[in-house]
Amino acid sequence: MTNLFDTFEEKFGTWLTGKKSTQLMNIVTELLNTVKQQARSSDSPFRGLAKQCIDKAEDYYQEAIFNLKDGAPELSFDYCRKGMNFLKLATMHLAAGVNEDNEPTFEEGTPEFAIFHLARAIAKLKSAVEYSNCKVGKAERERLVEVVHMHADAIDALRKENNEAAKRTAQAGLLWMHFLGKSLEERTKANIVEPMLFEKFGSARVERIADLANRIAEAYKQLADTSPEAQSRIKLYLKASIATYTKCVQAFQDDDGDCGQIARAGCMEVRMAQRLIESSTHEAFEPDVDEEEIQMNSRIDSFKLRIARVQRLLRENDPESEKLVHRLYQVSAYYAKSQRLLKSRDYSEAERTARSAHLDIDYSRQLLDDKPARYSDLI
Amino acid sequence: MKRKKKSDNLQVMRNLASVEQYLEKLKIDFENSGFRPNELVRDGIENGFAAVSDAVESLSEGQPSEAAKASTIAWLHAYFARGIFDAEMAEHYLGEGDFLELDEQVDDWKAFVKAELVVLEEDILTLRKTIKSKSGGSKK
Repeated sequence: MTNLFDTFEEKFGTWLTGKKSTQLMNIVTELLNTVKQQARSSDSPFRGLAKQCIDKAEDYYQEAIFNLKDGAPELSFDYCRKGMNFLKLATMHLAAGVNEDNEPTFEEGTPEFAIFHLARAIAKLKSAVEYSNCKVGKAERERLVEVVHMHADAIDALRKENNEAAKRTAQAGLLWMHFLGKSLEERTKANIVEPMLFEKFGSARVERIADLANRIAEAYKQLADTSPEAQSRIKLYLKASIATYTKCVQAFQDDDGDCGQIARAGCMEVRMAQRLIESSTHEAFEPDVDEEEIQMNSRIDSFKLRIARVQRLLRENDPESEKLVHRLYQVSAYYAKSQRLLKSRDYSEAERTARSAHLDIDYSRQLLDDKPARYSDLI
Repeated sequence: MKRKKKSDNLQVMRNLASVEQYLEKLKIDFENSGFRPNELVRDGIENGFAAVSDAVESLSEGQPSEAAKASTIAWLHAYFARGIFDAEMAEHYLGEGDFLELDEQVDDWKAFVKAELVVLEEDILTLRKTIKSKSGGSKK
């Protein structure tokens, strides 16, 4: 059998130039028949899989004949090679036993390594939740869904040879899994991402961001010991630190901005929360809390997350939605800018920018309805 | 050189056979599990098999490194799908049927997007109202 495959590879070029197509087709037919015969008598557990490979090989063989008759021997050759490779796969499936030694190991620091561990973390969290039967909040579940998409995006980037983006996306996904794992740790009693894993990435930035997640989780644990009155104020700081964490992971994923500096800011917010926790049981501590800023960041983050989800659905379902997706970026940017202008009391600019967001979302709706879009005079 | 290429091709082919067998076992388990089919697992299996086909195409075109990459991608899809399937099985055996959903669960994406745009517009309207009420006293 192996000899037939070798003969095919070695002699095909000569046959092609010598136009000895009959010999070519004879050997392909012989191979097909031999493998089919083998499949009939095989007791391999993967006989069904082998048959599928033989079917594919036959399809390619038919294409090869068609192209040969059509005077395209090069194309015929290509189809024959594809068919032969599927036949090789079929013979491997028909051979007894499974060779599990061929399962790959992924080298540390590669995108594949990060994607593999991301998949493991997602599955581990799901298992932990199913076993413990714990409740997962809406925001946590939405974030988890986002991470599942990040896993798919990372594989897609790898497929398109964009290794850096694949690695960053998978590592950002793992940072979110670490955060979610820590948030749910009390309920699931499981460790979702091994602390040592981030060290294997060889990136100080990743380790710093992971450390911020640890600190936030630690502060939340301490929060349980404080009075309900104190909790509402402390939670504002913790909410701010989560918003900072979001910003930080995004900056890391986009390779944009100094995420180390953002992580430091997040750590400061956690420290303030921890000082409030301490003071709620000891001396009075009245920090200068900018509640307005914290609420504003929370509104912006939630708005952006919703826009991102809509954009993803559009990309997945409508390949011609690029214009609409782009328009939604504008809506998101105008909304965030207007919120900041409002906070700085620049009301006329805030209104102008909010109106732009309003005009653009109205325009987006018309694009979605496949209508000729125009800016409304009534807004 | 030629011998080296041949052994590389053989190694890729062995990898492909292994990942196809891994996917096939998962597919059989998935089809025989007898409870709700999880879309992520189904997609993972399909994407894994598709990556194997891509790899065979690349090998046939004399691109073993492309084929090896496609084989790795097939493994990544396969591992993910297996992990999710095993987690679902745990919940199924526990008998609670309260699955943690990892996908969007959107039946009609267009209706969902339409509704979301309305909600987002409401957020913008609220913002404009807030600006209006705050600017009422102090014009800048």
